[in-house]
Amino acid sequence: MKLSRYYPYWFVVPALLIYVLFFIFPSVNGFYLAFTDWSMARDIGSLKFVGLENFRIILDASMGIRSSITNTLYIAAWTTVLKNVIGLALAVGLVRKSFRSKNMLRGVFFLPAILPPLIIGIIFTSVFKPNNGLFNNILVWFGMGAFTKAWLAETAAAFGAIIAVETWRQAGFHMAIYIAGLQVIPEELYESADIDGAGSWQKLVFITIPQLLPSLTVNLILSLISGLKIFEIVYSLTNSGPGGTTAVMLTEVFDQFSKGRYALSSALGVIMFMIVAVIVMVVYGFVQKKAGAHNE
Amino acid sequence: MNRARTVRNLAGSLLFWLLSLVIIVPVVIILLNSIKTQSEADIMNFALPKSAVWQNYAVVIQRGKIPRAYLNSLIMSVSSLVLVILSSSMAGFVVSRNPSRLNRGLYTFFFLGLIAPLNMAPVFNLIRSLGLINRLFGVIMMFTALLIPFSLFLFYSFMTKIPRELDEAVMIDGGGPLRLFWQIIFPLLKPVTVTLIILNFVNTWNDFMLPLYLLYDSEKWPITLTIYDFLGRFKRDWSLVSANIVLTILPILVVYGFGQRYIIDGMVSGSLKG
Repeated sequence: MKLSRYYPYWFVVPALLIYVLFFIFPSVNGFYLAFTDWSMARDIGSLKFVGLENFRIILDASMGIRSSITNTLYIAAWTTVLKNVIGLALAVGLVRKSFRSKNMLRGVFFLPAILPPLIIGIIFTSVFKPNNGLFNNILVWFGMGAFTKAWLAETAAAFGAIIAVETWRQAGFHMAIYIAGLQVIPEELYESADIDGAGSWQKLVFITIPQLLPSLTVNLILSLISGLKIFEIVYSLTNSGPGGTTAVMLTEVFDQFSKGRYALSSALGVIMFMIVAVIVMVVYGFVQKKAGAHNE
Repeated sequence: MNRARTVRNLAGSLLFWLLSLVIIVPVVIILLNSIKTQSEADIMNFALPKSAVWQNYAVVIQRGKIPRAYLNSLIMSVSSLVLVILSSSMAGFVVSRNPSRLNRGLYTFFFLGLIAPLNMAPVFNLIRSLGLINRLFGVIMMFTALLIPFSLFLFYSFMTKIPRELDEAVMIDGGGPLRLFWQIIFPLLKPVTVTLIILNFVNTWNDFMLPLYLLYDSEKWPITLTIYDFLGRFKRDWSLVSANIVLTILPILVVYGFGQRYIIDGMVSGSLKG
C-alpha cells in the first residue's frame, strides 16, 4: 500500500507555506540584512554590503550596546537558577498526596504564567515605587524601614527587581513541569529504598534527582530561553533604566529599530539567535552525556 | 506519631498558603485599586475603598477606546486560531501517519520554530513589502506562523493514540484522504484541539511585541497596548491604570477559571514533548 495516497503530502503544504514565508524567511533574511547598511534613510532596494561593521558597532563597548548582551546573560543565569530552585521546591511540596488544597495552590502559583508579561511589569512598577509602594510598605511593617529605597532608580536594585519579577512570573510554570516529572517516578523505587534503610536525603540524591533528569533538561532549556528572550518585563518595569543600565538584547533590538537603524537591529537579532542556538545545544549535549553515563 | 504527622502536614500547608500570598496580594490590590479614587489608589494597601468608584471603568472604556481594542484583539486571536488549527492538524496527521524520510525531515524543520527567536526588523521588512504593515492581517499571519510548530507537535503526538485500523476501515470503504481526515480523525482530536484553542488564545491575547512593531495606528491596537496610552496620558493615575489592567486580563482570568486543567496540562505536555 502506498502511504502517501492516504496521507498525501499536500496536507502539509498550508502549514509549511505559512511557516516558511512568515517565520523561516525573515529569520534567514536577517542574516543577510545584518551585513548591510539598511536604515530608515536607506531604501531596502539599494542596500550596500558593509561586512562586519554592524557587529563591530555592537561589540564595541563604547557604543553602549554590548552591555545589553551581558545584562541579558546575567538576568538569564540568575532567573534560571531561581525559577528552577523555587519551581522544584514548590513541586516537591505540592505533590504530596496528604496535601488537600494542593490543586488550588498549584492553580495560584501557575497563574502568573498566563498573565501578559507587559501587565505584570506595570503591576510591579507600583509594587516597587518609592513612596507608598507595596514592597517598601511591607519592609516598614516588618521593622526594616532602613532598607527601603527607590528600587527601580538604582541599577543594582533594578536588576534585582527584574530578576525577582521574571521569577515570580515563571516559577509556577516550572513547578508544573516538575510535578509532572515527579508523578511518573515509580513508587516501588522509594519502597525498596525504605527497605534498604535509605534516609530522605539519600532518596533525593539517588532516586528523585536522577529520575527527574528529563524534566530538569526541559526546565533548564525553557528557563534559559525565556530568560534570554526577556523583553516586556524590562520594557515596562524599568524601561531599560536607570540611564539605560538595565537594557537587554530585545529592548535594544527595539530601541535600534525605533531609531531607524534597521541593520543594526537585525545584527543584534542574529547574535541573539546564535546565543540561543549555542546554549540549547550545550545544555542538551551536556544532559545527554550525563544521562548516558548514568545508564552505563 | 500520627498526630505529629498531622501537625507537620498542617504546618506544611500553612507555609504554602503563606507563600501563595506573594502571588495573590499584588493581584488583589490591583482589583481593589480599580475601584478607588486616585489618591486612595496611590497608596498600595488592602484598605477597602471608602466608596466603590465604578466610574473608573466608565472613564477607561471611553477614553481608552476599549470596545474597539477588544474587537481588534478578538479578530486577531480568533482568525489566527482558526488558521493554526486547520493547517497544523492536517500537517500533524500526515507527518505522524506517514513516517517517510521527507516527513521526518519536515518534523525537524518545524522543530526549529520552537526554539529560534524571531528577528523583528526583518519581520517588519517582510510585512511591509507585502503591504501588510499597520493591518491586523499581517499580525494574524505572524501569530499563525509562530503557533504552528507547537500546535503541530501536540497534534502529532496525540495522533499516535488513534488506532490505524480506523484509517484502514475508511480506505476499504473507498473514502479518500479528505473524508478520512475531516469526518473520522478530526472529530477524535477534540481534546487536544480544545487545549490548543485555549493556549493559543492566551498567547495571542497576551502578545505585545508583534502589534508593537507592526501596528502604529492606535485604532488598530489590541487590548494589551491600550495600557500604554493610559500610562502616558494619566501619568500613573493608579486607579485608572488598575481598571485598564483588570479589563485587559479579565478574559484571560475567565478562560483560566474554566480551563485551568487544559492550560496547565497542555503547557506541560507541550513542553515535555518539545
